[in-house]
Amino acid sequence: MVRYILLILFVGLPFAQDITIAVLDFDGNGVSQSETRTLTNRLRDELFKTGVYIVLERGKMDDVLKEQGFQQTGCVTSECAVEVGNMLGVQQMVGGSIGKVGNIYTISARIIDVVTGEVLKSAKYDNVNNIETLLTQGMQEIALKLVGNEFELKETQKKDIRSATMGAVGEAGSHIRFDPESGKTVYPSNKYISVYMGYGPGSLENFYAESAFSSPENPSERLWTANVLDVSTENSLPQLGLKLGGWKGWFGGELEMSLFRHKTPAQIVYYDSHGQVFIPPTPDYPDGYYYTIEPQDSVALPDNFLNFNSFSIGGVAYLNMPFIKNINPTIGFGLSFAMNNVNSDYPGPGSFAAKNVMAAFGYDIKDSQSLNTTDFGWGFDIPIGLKYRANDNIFFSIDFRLSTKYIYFVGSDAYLKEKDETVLQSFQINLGVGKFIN
Amino acid sequence: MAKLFKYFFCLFMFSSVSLSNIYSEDSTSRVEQGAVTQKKVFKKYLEFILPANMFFGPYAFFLGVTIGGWGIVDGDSPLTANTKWLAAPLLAGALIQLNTSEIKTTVLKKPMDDDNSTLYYNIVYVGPDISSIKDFNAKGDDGKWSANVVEAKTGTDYPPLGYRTGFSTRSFGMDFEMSLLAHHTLKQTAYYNFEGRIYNEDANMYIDLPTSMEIDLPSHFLMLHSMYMGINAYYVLPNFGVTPYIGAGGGALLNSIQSQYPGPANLVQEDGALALDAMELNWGYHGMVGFRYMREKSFYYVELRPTFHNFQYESGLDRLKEHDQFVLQSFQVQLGVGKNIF
Repeated sequence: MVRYILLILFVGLPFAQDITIAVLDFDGNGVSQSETRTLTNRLRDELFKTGVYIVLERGKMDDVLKEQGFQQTGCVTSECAVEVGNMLGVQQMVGGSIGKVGNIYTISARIIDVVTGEVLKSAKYDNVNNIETLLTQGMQEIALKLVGNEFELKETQKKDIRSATMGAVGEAGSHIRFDPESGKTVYPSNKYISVYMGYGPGSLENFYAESAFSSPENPSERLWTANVLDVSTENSLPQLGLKLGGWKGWFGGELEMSLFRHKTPAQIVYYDSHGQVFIPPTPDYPDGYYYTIEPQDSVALPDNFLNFNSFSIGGVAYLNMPFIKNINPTIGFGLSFAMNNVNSDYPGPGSFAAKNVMAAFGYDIKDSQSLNTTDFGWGFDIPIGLKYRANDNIFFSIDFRLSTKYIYFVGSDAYLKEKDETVLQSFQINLGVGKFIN
Repeated sequence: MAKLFKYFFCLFMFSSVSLSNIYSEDSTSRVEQGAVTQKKVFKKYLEFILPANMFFGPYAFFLGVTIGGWGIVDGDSPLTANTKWLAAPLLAGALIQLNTSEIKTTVLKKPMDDDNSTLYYNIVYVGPDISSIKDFNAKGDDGKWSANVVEAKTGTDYPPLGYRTGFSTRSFGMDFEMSLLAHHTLKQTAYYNFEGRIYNEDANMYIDLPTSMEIDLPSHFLMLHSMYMGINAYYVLPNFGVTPYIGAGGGALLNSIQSQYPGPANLVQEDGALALDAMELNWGYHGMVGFRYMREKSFYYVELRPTFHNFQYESGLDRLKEHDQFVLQSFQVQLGVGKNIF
């Protein structure tokens, strides 16, 4: 809807451009004459920039009035403005005042029809304790209000703020805004919500498993331990994420929630192991027995042996670096807390390996139940990416992310019950789309 | 039934008499006259509500645990016993609301500013969860043995229920929370690591046991009831149709541990008796991330919580007396309705 209104306004602009207008020097109260003249000149420029009026230059205006023997000083009433307008031969006149009350600077301005003497439009602007802002922002705002283009006014302000942070980080402080209500300097900020989808390879680094039971000979030692340096993984579903974030100048932050699913593909895993496996009582061994395992061994893992489902919630802090307009590279660091579900068609890694080992001796370890356990873990990310602002509402993002998740779980069952811990490392490419919620 | 009625009648009378003494007309007249801020009125509201809940809540919890325990002793099913347990604190909550409603109305009717920048709210919620016992450690009172179970499965007969009252600005919120939680161990075989020597009643001597042991646990071997009272603090994120927030909370847990068995080391069921009936004050904490959907005078929310509740208690009898401790870990999905109290 807003687009159509803007379109109608812009279509209307060429037809309005033959209106001639002149700006009288504003009446100054508590402001010096030179400051008043400078500010009035700025208003002329701003009115010209709107493209709505043909604005009479100050020099030409002074020449005509001098020729007519008219003294502009003190001309503040509508009648006087009409009189001057007739002398200048313009259709409309702008008059007004700039004043200071306490710490507040105020501008009031109006457009008067020279033929009817009617006040067509009026505008005002207040600012606390800062006359400079009257020049940098106040007169632009007055001009846009007088033109009556409120939509453009809002869009212009939004655009200024966005360009200050998206495309021109580090430029002179022209993007820093002054809040007249609070009297404080306000740094532009952007808040957004975005969703992303990611994909990439991963691996389990340093998979460590230890028995839940202690050694009968030395209770301070675990019954067995095993370690695998590296197990490759891959996405079984693309990672999906939701981000809520914002930035101010160089710095940004995000709250992120994501769903992530990796699986181990079929592979042969070589592991280092120590200790003994307790074999439960059998008719041959009524008290059970301890089988000493080989220090090095291997096991062929089937596809989908372990599935990792992780729901993470975390925060990312990032640097929003200057680049070119509309594109901002970012680099950040994130910490997350995750609920990790690990499942398998088998009881667990220790049980699977022991079953393979014992099968060589003709002993069949019964699989009791398949693995399905949920535990909490944590992780960190290093995202390096780009944000591209497509328009005032939408941006697209791409980031390359090194993600590290520390996963702990209890696996296997019965006397092979084990405590497992591993680091799931992945390198992902995430593509996202976001919407500003300013 | 008559016994139940008698206890609820006692509770009603006790709460009515006590509340009428605590919140006499003198106390309500302490509210400042004239226009006051919502913040001041809310503080006054908390002064009335929190002591009532913090005193009568645990009292009703004790009562509920006792009634539930009787149910077990009388041969009720765990579900029936849990229903009786739950009824007592819920009824007590209703009685507290009834007895304080006039006082609350008096306080909240005071003329005040119409500042809408802060939301003051009451919430009721239900929080189904997935839970398990982690690292169950038991140590003999005689110091001669210890045992560890890395994980035991738990379930619920009723989902956790709770009440929260607090405030939220555009960037920050805090609330006080009370909740009732009832978990129990599921039927399972627990494999445990054992170290040391333990007294054998039949042989009347200490015996060595292997390090790897197993034990078949019946359903509801341990019945865990908790009343949680704590504080939450959270950061409010930008609104995008719903208002997200993220935070953490912690507080005290009044834990009741009941079983028909004296303890894990003494697994002889005592029919018609509650062999283990411990009540301890422990603590717990949680993270929280939630989304609030605002209406004009109310809101709905969904909140995800990893929670960690610590349990420490004594169980067993005589030479098999033991000190047990574990963490009840759960992932809770809280669904609730909030109401703006102004």
